[in-house]
Amino acid sequence: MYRKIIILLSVIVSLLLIVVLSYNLFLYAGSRAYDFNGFRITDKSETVVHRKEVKDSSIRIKAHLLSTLSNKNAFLTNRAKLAKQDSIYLSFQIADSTLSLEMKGVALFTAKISQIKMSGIFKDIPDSVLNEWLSSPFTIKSSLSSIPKEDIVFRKAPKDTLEYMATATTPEAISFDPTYYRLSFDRGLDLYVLQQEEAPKAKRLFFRQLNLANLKTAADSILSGALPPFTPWIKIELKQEDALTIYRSLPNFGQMALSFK
Amino acid sequence: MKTQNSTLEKQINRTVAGQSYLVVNVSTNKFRLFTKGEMVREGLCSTGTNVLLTTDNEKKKWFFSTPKGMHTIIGKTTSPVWIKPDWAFVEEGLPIPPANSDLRYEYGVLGDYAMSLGHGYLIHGTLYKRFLGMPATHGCIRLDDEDLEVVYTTMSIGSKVFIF
Repeated sequence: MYRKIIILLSVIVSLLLIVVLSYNLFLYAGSRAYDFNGFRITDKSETVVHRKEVKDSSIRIKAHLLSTLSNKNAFLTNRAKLAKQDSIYLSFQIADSTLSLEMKGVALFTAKISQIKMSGIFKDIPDSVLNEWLSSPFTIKSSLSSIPKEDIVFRKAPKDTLEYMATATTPEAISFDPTYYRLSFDRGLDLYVLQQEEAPKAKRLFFRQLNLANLKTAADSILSGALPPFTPWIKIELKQEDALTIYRSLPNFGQMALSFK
Repeated sequence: MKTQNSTLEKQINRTVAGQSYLVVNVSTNKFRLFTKGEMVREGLCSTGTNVLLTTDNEKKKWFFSTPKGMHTIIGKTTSPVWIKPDWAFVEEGLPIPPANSDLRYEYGVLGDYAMSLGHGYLIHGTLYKRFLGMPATHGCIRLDDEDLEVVYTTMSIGSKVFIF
């Protein structure tokens, strides 16, 4: 009896060791596993990441400055490109914690972000790869939201003045519904915008919708013989009014210029 | 690269450099007036109700929404007169009068000034000041009397109005 227990324990420990060793091998090979809403999703980097030891501090500082300037250059180039169009677009500066609506280069509205979280992958990507990824604007492919894009009221014209008097309404103050949404961009980026005010019921409902959508995407991938895709994400919290303004003002396939520095 | 960045910034800010412009937020019904890049006034306004009005047989439809985007002031008027379009009669259950009927003209309801954005959309005053800050119009932008006077005197024909 005891022998059987010892053998069983040995098998379990061996299996655990194999799993841990395999995970470390994966890390070395450049793959990452990220938890995201209960799913274990793997992503394979296309290039092996090697960290170079830069010992000379002045070279390190110059490299950092150059990287910052390159990042800013990419951001300004994208904004200049988007400013030539006739649409409203997003300008997202992570370092400044601001998310702005712009049009023709004019900042129409700037929201202050109270909290930012993002995928761990952004810490590990080399600056050169990141700047390449940021070198052109992102375009919204799809969105999922707790509020309608446009609040339209349907009204039938009254037949006569008596019906008009009976059904006439007065304008009402704006009511802000709990605002949570995900904007899925091309080139693999999801932006989650959550209101900072507490609304647990609405938040639960939104995340339930989100999880169902993610489940469907994962299931579709698995059925077609591929691993579920990993999409780097950025989650931000804004005031409810600001989140709603941004969502309702953006075109359906709006664009965004993004800067990390 | 610093020079390039500086050039790009100038390029981006070219649209309204040194000019006055108005920014209207239809989600919160607030406006801000800018002159030479500085905000000089902000306040409440009323914008479109987003009502889709249809006749009984659905042959005619009107959508009362303030159009988003960049607009230009194409005309300025003092003591404007409202020339009532068809929907103003339809929504009250009234018969539509002929185009040149006296019933089409209403005086004193648009305030002291009006600025035209084209396609029938105006920035004007209002008798219904208690509705400022709410979506209450058929697409026009309504301002309080004092705000309207400041905006009218600051903006000129060709000034930009950004609505989002």
